[in-house]
Amino acid sequence: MGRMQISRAVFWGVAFLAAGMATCAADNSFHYFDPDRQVTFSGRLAAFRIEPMYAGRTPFIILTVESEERTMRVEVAPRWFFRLDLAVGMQVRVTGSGIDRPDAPAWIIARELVIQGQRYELRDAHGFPLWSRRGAGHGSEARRGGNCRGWGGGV
Amino acid sequence: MAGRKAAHGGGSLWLPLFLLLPLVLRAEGDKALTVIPAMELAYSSNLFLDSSQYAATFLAPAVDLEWQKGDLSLFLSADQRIFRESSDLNTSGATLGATFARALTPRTTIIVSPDFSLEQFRGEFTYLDSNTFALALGVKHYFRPQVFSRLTAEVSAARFSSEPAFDHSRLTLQAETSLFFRSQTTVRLQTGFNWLRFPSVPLDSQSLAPEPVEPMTGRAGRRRSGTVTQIFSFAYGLPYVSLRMAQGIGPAVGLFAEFQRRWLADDLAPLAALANDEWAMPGTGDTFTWDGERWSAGLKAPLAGFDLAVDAAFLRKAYPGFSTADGGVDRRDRQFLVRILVERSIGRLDVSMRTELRRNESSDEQFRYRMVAVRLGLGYTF
Repeated sequence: MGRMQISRAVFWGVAFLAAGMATCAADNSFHYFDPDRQVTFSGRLAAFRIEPMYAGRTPFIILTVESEERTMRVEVAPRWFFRLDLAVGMQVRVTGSGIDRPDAPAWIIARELVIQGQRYELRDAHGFPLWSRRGAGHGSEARRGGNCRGWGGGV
Repeated sequence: MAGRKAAHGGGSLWLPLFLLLPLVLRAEGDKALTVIPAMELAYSSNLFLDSSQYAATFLAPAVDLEWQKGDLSLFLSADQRIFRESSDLNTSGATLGATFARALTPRTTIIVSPDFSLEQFRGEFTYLDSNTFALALGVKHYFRPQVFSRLTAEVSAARFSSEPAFDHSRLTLQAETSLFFRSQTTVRLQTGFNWLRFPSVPLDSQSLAPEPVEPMTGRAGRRRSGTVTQIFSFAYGLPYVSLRMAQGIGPAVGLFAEFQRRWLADDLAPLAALANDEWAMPGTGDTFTWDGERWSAGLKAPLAGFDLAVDAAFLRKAYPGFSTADGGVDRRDRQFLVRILVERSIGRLDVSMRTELRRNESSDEQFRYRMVAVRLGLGYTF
């Protein structure tokens, strides 16, 4: 194998590695909840959508929240866990772990969300997701009678 | 009765059985197993009616499990209420179901949710043991980011193990549209239709004869006695509309006001026997036996680390076909209701206090009562 071939192999290897990292960054699978970097941000809901997160396994509610100073992307929770009818324009207060990224809108992994007087607890103080230990119904009485649970979640 | 096998034992077997299911789910699933033991202490000056002074303390262990994979969610809940004062009031319940929710497009979501519930009582109340199957189908569509509509259809069938007169099936069709305005105001218009069918109504309304009140248990005691020789099927419709306005004041305060009107087109005299058992009514749906209006308003706000919810309601209800106990005119009620809920989560510990004040004025003296209920809840999530 000549030097040119080695150089090409190294080049393509690095390129694939970079592309892979970029892809991972794009689906937000590189971030984590840092309990020491918690922020509170209030603003207006500019957009909401469902995005596959964490290796594409789980559809998450992702919000775009704008204030006069900046725009934040907010990772809320799996769609099945978060049951609220969202509308663009709602006033939102988010508390969570903030991640500043120079190349993209700042990102918050939400621990708590307040909308129209209703507080939604999504993670504990250490960032542990409540959906992995608590069902969406929050009690069996809420579930009786086929009440179309699972509604909401924006879309 | 009627050849059905009555359930016995108060359902205490269900909880351990359901506790075993997580092991099966854990083997197959990859998500979200939950166990929530909870305890509630309740004090009520009256339970349902003013027929006795009543205070209750009960333990309410519960198990709540969720198994999630993609768009499919399986859930399993079981709970018990174990009363300190009287084991006759103990109940057990369990629900097993699934929800399939899929976003067909960025604007449209469909949902399919079947579930099966069991409810069991102890002692003399085992005649209220029931199982219910329900299936809900729905579609939600955003026309604009501030406007969406939702269509829902739900069918359910409840079967009572030893009291076929309470068996019923229900079909609900509902349509709603919500509009959100820049002023943080949400307007929701909802309309729907309930259709209920009772397949085995006793012809003789006296067959559910009243029994004396038993103050120690608080039950107003109108259990079935006698034999029913003739039964027939009875069905009726109940259309309704409701208008709700919600106002956000910043993100932290939410106010709402709602008006609902419902119409009963049919005279419910054939269900009079059923109406005589107020213990059965919650299970068979008092919600579906009155004609009238409901006005309500409330507030929600997180306050000093607590979540506060307060609401008040006024209901004017007519029960066409249900004559009063003295054999007079149809029963008519006016109810005033105030509820206050304060909750706080401290780590895995959930603490709540629920207070309810209720005053019911009725043309039937049996249904005139005042009630104060305070319930303290304590839950810990493992």
